Amino acid sequence: MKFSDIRREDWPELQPYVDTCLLPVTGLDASEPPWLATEKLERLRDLMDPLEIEFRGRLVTYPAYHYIAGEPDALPEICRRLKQSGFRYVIIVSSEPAALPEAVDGCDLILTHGNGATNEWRSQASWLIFQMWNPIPGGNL
Amino acid sequence: MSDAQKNETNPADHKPVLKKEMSRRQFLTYTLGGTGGFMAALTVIPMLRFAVDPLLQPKSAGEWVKVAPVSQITSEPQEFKFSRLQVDGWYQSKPEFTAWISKDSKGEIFALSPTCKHLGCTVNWNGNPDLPNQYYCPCHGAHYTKDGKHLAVAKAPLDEYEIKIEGDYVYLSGLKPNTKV
Repeated sequence: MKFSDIRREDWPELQPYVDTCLLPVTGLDASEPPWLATEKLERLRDLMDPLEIEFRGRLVTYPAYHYIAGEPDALPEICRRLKQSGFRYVIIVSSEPAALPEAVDGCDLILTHGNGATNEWRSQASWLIFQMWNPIPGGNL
Repeated sequence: MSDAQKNETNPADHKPVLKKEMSRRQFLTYTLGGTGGFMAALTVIPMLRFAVDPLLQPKSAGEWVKVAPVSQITSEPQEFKFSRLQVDGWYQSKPEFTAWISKDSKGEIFALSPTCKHLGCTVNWNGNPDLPNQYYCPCHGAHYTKDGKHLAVAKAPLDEYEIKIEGDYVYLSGLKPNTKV
């Protein structure tokens, strides 16, 4: 569900179940013309939509982290604060893989795809999220 | 006083006759006001009718969508995707829906919604190898029988789609509470 779907009075009851934050990273660098900024946002939305629907009851999408100018230094701190606020898991999703490092401190899973949400990508992303919640003992994610 | 004198009227006794006539000012006021009100009504009434039109439309039972041929339906649930026109006031959209369609023990075809009744995640048939022949929710472990009966976590069975068979095809419409369990 989206952050805007959750009312103040409902959050205490939902919080034990909705323990995963989906953090969209748009990957803009402020040099894009308007049409390209729109395209990047739409590609990101195409990645997020199927995940939001499939995992609606456990995953909450937060407002996007739009601009990455050089190193994405703020991301580890953002992930740390999200966990401090009560989220058990933080997933970063982005349609700009080049804008992200391979790992971000505090982030449990990074899902990226530069060419839109194919069926194969959706299946793989769903499986990775399920594995994150249900780790196989002795196995790697 | 003679009778002739009695019959004569005294000018001093005359009272002025009140004529019930409209003044020119009143006439103009009524005429202009009436014409202006009529013209305003001509403009406003169609706008009001336009604005409330969705409320006045008869509520339809929902659009039927051809989803699958009957010959394709088996006792094993299969996933089918379809789009249906949704009208909400002036806003129209055509979102995609998913249905799990199968035959029950009597051979009757029914279709279930994959939306988990706990918190709205999407369930899958045989989604957990530890729970075969059940619908499984990956979010909090809710699971359901083939008929949609809730076995854990969720407090209600999976919803059913309105269904009809016409010309060897399965048609689906809106959702209703489960009737199988």
